[in-house]
Amino acid sequence: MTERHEELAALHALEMLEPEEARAFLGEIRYAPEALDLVAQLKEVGAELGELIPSEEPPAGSYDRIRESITGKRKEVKIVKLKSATKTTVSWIGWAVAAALAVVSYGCWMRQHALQNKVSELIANESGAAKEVVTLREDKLKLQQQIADKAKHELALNEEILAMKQTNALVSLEVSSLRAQNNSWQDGVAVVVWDNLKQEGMLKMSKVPPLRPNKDYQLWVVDKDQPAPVSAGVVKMSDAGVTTFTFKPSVQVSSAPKFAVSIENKGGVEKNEGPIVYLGP
Amino acid sequence: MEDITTDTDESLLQRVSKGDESAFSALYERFSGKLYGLVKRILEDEQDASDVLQEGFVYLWEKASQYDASKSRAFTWAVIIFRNKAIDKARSRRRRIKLNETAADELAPLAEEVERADHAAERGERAVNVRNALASLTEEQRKCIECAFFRGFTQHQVAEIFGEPLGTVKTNIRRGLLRMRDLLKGGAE
Repeated sequence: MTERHEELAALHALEMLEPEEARAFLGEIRYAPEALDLVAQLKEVGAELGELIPSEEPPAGSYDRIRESITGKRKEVKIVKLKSATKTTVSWIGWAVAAALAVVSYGCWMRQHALQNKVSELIANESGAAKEVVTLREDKLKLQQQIADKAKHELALNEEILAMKQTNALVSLEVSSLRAQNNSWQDGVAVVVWDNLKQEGMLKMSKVPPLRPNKDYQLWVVDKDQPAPVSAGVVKMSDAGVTTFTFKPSVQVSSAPKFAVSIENKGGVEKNEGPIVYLGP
Repeated sequence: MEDITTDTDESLLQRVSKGDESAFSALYERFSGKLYGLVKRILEDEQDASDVLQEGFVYLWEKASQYDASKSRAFTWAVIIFRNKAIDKARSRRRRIKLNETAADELAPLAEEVERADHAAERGERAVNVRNALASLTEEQRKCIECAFFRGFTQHQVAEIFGEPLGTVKTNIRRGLLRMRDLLKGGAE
């Protein structure tokens, strides 16, 4: 994890970031479990400071108001008993009027209840839609950030390659950018720098998806003079999906080899069996 | 009948998630003093603090089922909720636009207040550990963390208050919190 991420995690844990800064940071670390874990740890550490706060008596009646608020939300309709105005005998007309009023009242109550439900439903739908819009906007921002990161990363790689070329001006270096053969590997970058004179090369991969524990990436040299692809070795990836792998094929390779990366059983195989995920031009 | 006074905070909160009002009442008794003190300090207004206290406990009642005892203590979970609500309110009202020497002066008694709070909180071993961890930080780290936590200021506001470059404040917060984490875990010396 970078120092910058640690810094942002600490600031976020204490709510010291402005909302837009916090959104950008959370978007950045969305797929970084280590950073997310650090944020959670530091939030917990920060909250421990609450132990040092002097206790203050809340204003009188606070608990009653809270309790009212809670019980108010689940208040049930109470049945009100109607009492007769007097204890004297009541004529049947009175009963009929009372019954009619009760029926009308019940009808009104039912209608009001149905309307309230409808209003609640509409409010909930509106709120849900608004949340969805916010989420989509956040996703869009995150995607834009990812694209910008990738462009920055490629630029850095190109600069690195340029620097390597400059420092090895006397050596005939071939640089191949391998293309992803499957959508799942589109975000990754795989570049081979091949020194034909020395018959050795270097594979640099980054942002490559992790494999199941029983699988490994394997590099192959596809040479027109060889009957089948020649293994250049098993490529071990870091947890972050990054590697710099130097290799030297066991056989003499022609002047214009191609390179490919495939997924093979753990430890690698002699002959390519698994799917090719990156292939050179 | 169960003796609610012996329940841990965590088990009370789990009972609250099942709608147990007596557990909620007990939790209010245990937490409300400190939580009210915290939000009042951030908001600097009794009415606002009272409103946030109410909102916070209603939220706690409704969302107790989201609490995960394996990830945090019940008290720290509540502190995070109440503090967020207080900071949202404070920032939305733009109470802290004017940050000048007066504001910085107002921060000075904080250390003393915290110290007094420590004495009051010595009932709990945890409070002692937190006090020791905070005391082990450098003066600059401690001041930045206290200013951020107890007042709810942003990184820019803290930098302005102390007249420090933003980078220095960031470094102090990062190093200070990481050290506290290590100390509270019992790792670093």
